[in-house]
Amino acid sequence: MPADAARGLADAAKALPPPAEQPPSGPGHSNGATPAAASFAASTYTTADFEQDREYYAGLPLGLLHPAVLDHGAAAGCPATAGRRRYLCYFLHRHLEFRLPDAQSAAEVALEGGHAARLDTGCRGGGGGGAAVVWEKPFGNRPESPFWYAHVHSKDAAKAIAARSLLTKVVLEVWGEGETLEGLQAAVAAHPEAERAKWGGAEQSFKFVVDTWGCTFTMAQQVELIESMEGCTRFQGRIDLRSPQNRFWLIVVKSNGRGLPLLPDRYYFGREVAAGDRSVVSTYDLRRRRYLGPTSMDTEMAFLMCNICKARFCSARVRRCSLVLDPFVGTGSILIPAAHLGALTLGADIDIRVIKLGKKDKAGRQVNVWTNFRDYGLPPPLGLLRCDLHTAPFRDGLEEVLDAIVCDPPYGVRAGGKKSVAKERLITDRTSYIPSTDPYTLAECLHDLLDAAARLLRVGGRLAYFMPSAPGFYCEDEVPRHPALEMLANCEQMLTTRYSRRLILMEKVKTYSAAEAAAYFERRGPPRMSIDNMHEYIYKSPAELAAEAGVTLEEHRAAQAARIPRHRGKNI
Amino acid sequence: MKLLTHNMLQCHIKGVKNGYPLKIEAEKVEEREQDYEPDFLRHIFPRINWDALREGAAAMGIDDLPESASEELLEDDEFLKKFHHALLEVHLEEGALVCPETGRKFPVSDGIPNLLLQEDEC
Repeated sequence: MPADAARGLADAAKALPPPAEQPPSGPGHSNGATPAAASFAASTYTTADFEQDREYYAGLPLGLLHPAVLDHGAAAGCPATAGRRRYLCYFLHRHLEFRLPDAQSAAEVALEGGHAARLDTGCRGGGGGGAAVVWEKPFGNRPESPFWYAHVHSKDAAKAIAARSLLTKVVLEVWGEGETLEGLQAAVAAHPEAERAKWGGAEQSFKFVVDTWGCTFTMAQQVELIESMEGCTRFQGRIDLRSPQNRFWLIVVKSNGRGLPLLPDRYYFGREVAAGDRSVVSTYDLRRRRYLGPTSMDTEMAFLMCNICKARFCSARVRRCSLVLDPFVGTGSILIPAAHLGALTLGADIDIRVIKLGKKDKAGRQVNVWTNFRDYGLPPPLGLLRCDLHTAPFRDGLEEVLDAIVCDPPYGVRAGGKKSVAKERLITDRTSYIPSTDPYTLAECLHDLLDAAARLLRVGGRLAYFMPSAPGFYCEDEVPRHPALEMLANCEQMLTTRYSRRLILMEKVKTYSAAEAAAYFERRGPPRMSIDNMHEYIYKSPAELAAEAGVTLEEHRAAQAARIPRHRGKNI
Repeated sequence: MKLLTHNMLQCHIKGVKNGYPLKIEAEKVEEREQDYEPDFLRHIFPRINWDALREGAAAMGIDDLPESASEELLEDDEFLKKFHHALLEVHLEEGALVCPETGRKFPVSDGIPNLLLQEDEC
């Protein structure tokens, strides 16, 4: 297509409404006064908007703490990618910090499944050698871009990423890409003839999928775009829109900065290796679940937690279900995805009302954790238990039994923690006596959680939990550690303009030693975190906060808004 | 409560030395089918205290478990099925777990044991 035709597409596209994937309204856009159309037409590397956007995202962490990451274009000839295949992972613009850990865990499951021997070389991040995925940054080295390249050992790993990760839209084998449509066509034309014959031969049916990022194309424009690709693809086969043997994606990136980050223009063309599947998110929609509590975990996030913990298989050397514990089980909202993924589950909670008694639903029927599992036709938990993590009743010497611990500890913002405490009491009838509990600070709770995980997990087993954070209350050094556990990921999810929460992923790296743990905790001193004082802050009115800081309400609001990066919201 | 759970628990009252295994006082026992997964059973076997399992099973009316078990038996399908049944298919619905040292009863109701300690026990 000639350049002016491409511009014609762009002109038509800018008249259309902004893309549907609008994140919750963030702080105002810097070019609010400029018509968005102008910024669209000028969406090139050099606009001031682009630079500002880049600054906002400059510090965006990857979620994974020590991944094998290469700069864009640095993969060719790099020893870390030797013997690997390169695929484009087109992610959703959701939960940006969770995307790599989610996809990588899926690839690790596939690696363990297909090549157990490679496990011995260590499949965690770090060196490229044994890592399940060597990541290559998207074009322009922009971490917020959804177009990451995964270098994996096999096609199965690429398929596993699409099949198991909730944040992957599609995994493609790239045939060509370019900054302009002409550049793309030239690249596709140069794709090896053998590949073209294999997937586009006369006996192969195919279909084109046009996808746009940051802009919208009408059907007519899409058809025009597809037709313009005929010359370079030279497919011989039959077009089949219903059930083609091969799907080819044509992706156009032209962001206008409204809602989505500004990215350099880019065209991609590739063969679909596998498409993502998010159907579980609606199958397990909380709105249709009968038994819920105020802190039930959102379905998508609960699935992400279980995925990242690999709550499905252990290693393929022993192909079996993993055994997963949620020590703060509540209404079972994290164990439901684990059971769906094929894990065996165990739940514990200090509150008997939550796990046993449940509630009455609208029709007056009793609902509880068991009925939630039954409603979905999932195998019920192997066990539910009322106990207190602080004085956990697990027998001495019980170690290496669980494959994962996944939980959302009570962190005192919406529900506070409770623990059993020693007090002088004269108890005559133990069967009817209701013991009192004391508040349980997050620091104490996490201390107990990590120590329990270090004991109960098998080596290689994973712990995932959420902890709250807020500016001024979070400091990376305060994230609790344990000598037997290694931290693999730390992913932030924005909740409100005031606070966010972080998913911490740890893996047990060596057998538990009580002496080593005791010495470590002795050195660290009593568990304390600044977050323990967060509740007060969260529930203060903006006027109170402004008065404390000695600024006007408007100044306070502006400062709050500036703290949250633009384009980041609850699901971004 | 399955015997798998029972096998993991002990009386954790402060000062108690011999809080394991908890004795089972069964009032209502149910049997529910559970998927048979030999690989899971082989994995969990080394983490199971056999004497406690056998004792618990006897209290729930299952007495066909061998007196001792070793890893070699894991290749025997008949043994695995018995192990599976005792570990995962027999449920204590109502009853109590009793500390062998102090006699403290931890109630089990609706299949959920209550191991929460009272203030003078922590």
